Amino acid sequence: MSKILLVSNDETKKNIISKALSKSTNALLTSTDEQSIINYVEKGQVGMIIVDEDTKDPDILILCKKLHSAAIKANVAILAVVNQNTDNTELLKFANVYVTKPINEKILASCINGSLKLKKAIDTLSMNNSELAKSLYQLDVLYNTSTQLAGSLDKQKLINIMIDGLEKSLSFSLSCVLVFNDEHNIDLIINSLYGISPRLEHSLKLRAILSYRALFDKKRIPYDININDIKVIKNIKHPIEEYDLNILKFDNLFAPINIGEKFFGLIEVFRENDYTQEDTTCFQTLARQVSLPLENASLYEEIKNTNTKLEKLERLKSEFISIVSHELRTPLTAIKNSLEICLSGKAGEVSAITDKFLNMAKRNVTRLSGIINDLLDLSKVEAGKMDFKFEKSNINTPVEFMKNTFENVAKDKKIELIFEKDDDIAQTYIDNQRIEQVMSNLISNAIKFTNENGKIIVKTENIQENDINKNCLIGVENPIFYPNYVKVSVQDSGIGIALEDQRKVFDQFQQIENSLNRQAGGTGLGLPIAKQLIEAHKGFIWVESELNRGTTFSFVIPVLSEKDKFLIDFDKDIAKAKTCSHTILFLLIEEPQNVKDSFIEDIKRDKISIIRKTSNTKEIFYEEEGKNYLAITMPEADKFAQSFIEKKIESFLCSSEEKQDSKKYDILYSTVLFPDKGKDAQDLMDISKELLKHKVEANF
Amino acid sequence: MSDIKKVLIVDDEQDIVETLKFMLEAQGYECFCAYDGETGLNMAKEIIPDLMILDVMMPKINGYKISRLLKYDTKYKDIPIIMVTARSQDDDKIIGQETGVNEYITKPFELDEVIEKVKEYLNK
Repeated sequence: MSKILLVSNDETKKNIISKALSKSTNALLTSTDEQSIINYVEKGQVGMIIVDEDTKDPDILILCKKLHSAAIKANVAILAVVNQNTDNTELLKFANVYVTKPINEKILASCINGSLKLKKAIDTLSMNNSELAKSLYQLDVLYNTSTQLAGSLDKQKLINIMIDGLEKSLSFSLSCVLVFNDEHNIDLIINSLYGISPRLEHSLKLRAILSYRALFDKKRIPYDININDIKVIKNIKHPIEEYDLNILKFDNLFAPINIGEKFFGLIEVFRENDYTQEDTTCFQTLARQVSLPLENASLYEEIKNTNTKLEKLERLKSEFISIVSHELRTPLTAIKNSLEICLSGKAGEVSAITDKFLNMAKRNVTRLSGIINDLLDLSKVEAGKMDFKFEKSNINTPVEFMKNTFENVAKDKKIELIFEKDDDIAQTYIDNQRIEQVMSNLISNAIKFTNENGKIIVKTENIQENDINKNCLIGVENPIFYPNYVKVSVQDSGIGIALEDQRKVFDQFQQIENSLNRQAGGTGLGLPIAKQLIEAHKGFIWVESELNRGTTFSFVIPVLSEKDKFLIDFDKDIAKAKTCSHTILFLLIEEPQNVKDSFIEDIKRDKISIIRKTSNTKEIFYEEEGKNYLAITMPEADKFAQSFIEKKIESFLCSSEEKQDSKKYDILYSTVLFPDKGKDAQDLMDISKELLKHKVEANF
Repeated sequence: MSDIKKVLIVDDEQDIVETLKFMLEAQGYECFCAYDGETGLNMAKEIIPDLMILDVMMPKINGYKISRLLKYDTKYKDIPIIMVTARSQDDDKIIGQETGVNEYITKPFELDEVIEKVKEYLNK
C-alpha cells in the first residue's frame, strides 16, 4: 500500500483521482503547503506525487524543481496532469510520467499503478544492493579476521581479534565472551560502548552460566561453573554513561565456541537494532572460526607445558647422573680401598675363609662400579655428551689389542679364538678406545655363550654399501649410507639367539630371560651401549643368529672423506650447541694472503653485534704461518647466537661448494666446545687456544 | 734420601683419606691430611710436602685453585700433584694440566695405582 499525494485543492480533480484509485488500496492525501510536501518526499512517506499544471499556489514548476533531487533519492515518482497542448516542456521534463486533460480515469489508474510498480521494483533492487554491499563488507571482515586468527597462538590475542571482527561486522553495543582457562579460572570479557552497572555485571555473569548450562544435557555438563570463579575483564569505550538491565532487552546473538565435545567458551552480543539473517550467519561463522585457532592455542600451551616438564626432567636426569658419578663413586672407592687393605694382609692376618669373603666383596664392588660406568656411558652417549676422539686409523689395531686381551680367557674355556684380518683394510675415523669397548663387549659375550670346544672367528674386511643386509638393521631411523665401509664381525658357535629375541638385544634393560645370561652376570647394557657407540661413528651394528648353531654380531664403520668427516663433526657440534649454554666455536680458516677475507669480516662484524647482547663473548683471531685461526667463545650464548652461527656456516659451505672457481676460503677445522659452567672467561680462552693448537697439530 | 718423604692428602672424603693414609704409611711415608681446600693449602705452605694428593670438588677452595696457587709460586711449584676426581670429563683434564697437575686419577681408583704413581714421583 502506498500513499499518493495530490498537490491541489480542487475538489473536482480530487474526486476524479479518488475514483481512479478506488480499485487499488492506495490512499490519497492532498496538500498545497510547500514545506510539508517537501517533508513528505524527503522522509519517503509517500510513494508518488500528482501535480496539476494549472495549480498556481504553490507554483508547480518551482515546486517540482525543489522536489527533484529529493524525489530521485527517495524514489518518489512525479505524475503531472497537463493540458492537451501544453508548451510547459520544463514541467514535462521534471515529471516521470504525465496524463493530459481531460483526465481519463482508466489511463490515470494504469499510469499510477505502473509508476508504483516501478517504484517498488527499484526499491527492492536498491535494498538488495545495500544488503549486498553490507554482506561484502562482512565477508571482508571475516576474511581479515580469519587471516589474523590463523597467525596467532595466543589465547588472549585470539579473543581480541574475534571481538574486533565482531565489532567491525556487526557493530554491537555490548559483547560478552566467556573463556575457559580451567575449571576455576574463567574469564568473562565484556566489551561495551558504555559502562556496566553492578547489577548488570552480575546478571551478565549469571546469564553466561545459564547459557553454558543450556548447551549441555543436564547429565553431561563437564563441570559446574561457580559464579565466584568468573573473573570479569571490562573494556569500556565511553564510561560517562552506564548500561543497566535494560540492555538485556536488546536484540542478541549467542554462540558457543567449541570443537565437537571440546568447549572453549561462549560469545554473546547485544545491539539496539535487530540483527538480520546475514548478521546471524556472519556471527556464527566468526564464532566457528575462532574455535580452531583457540584449540591450537590450547594445544600449543599444553605442548609448551609438557616441553618445560620434559626439559626439567632432562635436567634432573643429568643432575642425577652427576650425583651418581660423584656420590656413588666416592663411597665405592672407600669400600674398595678398605677391602684392598684387608686383603693385602697389612691390617692383620687374614684367614682363608675371611679371604674368600673379602674377595667376594671385592668382586662385587668391581661389578657395581662396572654397572655405574655402563649407566654413565649410556646416558652420556644418549645425551650426546660423550666426547669421542675420532682419529684416522686402522681398525686392525684394536682387533690386535683384543687378541692379546682374550687369548688366555678363550684358552681357559677351551674355545678356539681365530682372528682373520684383512691387511688391506681401509683407514677410517674411529675412536680407538670406544671401538675397543664395543669389540671387547662382543667378544666377551661370544665367549660367555659358547661352550667348550667351540669356535669364535673375529674378522675384518672392506665392504660396500650393497653388501650390508639392510633387513638386519633394526631400530635405525632414516639411515644414511656411505659408499664404502669396513666391517668387523664376531662369529661364535654358541647357543644362539631366538628370532624374537634378536630384535631386543640392542634395547636397554631388555636382557633376554636366560639363566645362562644371569650366570654370566651382565648388566644388559653392553649391547645398547655398543649400538650407541657405533652409531656415533655413523656406522651400524646388527645380529644374525640361529638357535643352537651360533651367533654373528657385525658392525660397519663408514670410510669417510675429509669433507664427509667435517660435515659430520659439524652437524654434531651444531646439534650440541643447541642444547648447551656454554659454547666455544673454533674455526680455522685458510685465507689467501692479501685478500680481505669478507667471511671473517662478516663473522666478526656480526659477532660484535652479538657481543653487545651477550656479555663475556670474546674472540681470538691470530695468524700463524699463513693460516688464520679464529676462535669465538660464547659463554652463555643465546639460542639466537647459536642459530646465527649455524646459518652463517651453512651458507658459507654451500656457497663455497657452488662457486668452485671463484675465490673461497676453506674451513680447515671447526668444532664447538661446551665446557662446564663456572669457568671464567680466561679459563675458557686458555682452553680454546690450547685445544685449537692441539687439534691443528693433530689434523695437519 | 734418609729423610722420610712427606705426603699431603687433601680430600673432603675422610674414608678415602683414611685408606690412602694407611697404605702410604705402610709404604713408609709420613702422611698429613686435610679435609677442606683452605686447610689443605695452608698445610701445603707450612709443611712443604714432597707430594700432594688433591681432590677436585672440595669445600672452600677447589683442587684446581689450590693447584694453580701452588704452581704459580716458585716456592711450591716443584711439589708434584696427583689430582683425584670422580668426574672423568676431558675438559677437567685439560684444566688440570693447565693448572700444572702432574697426574690425573679418576675415582674409583685402584689403591695400587695411586701407590705406584706416588712411588714414581718420590723415587725420582
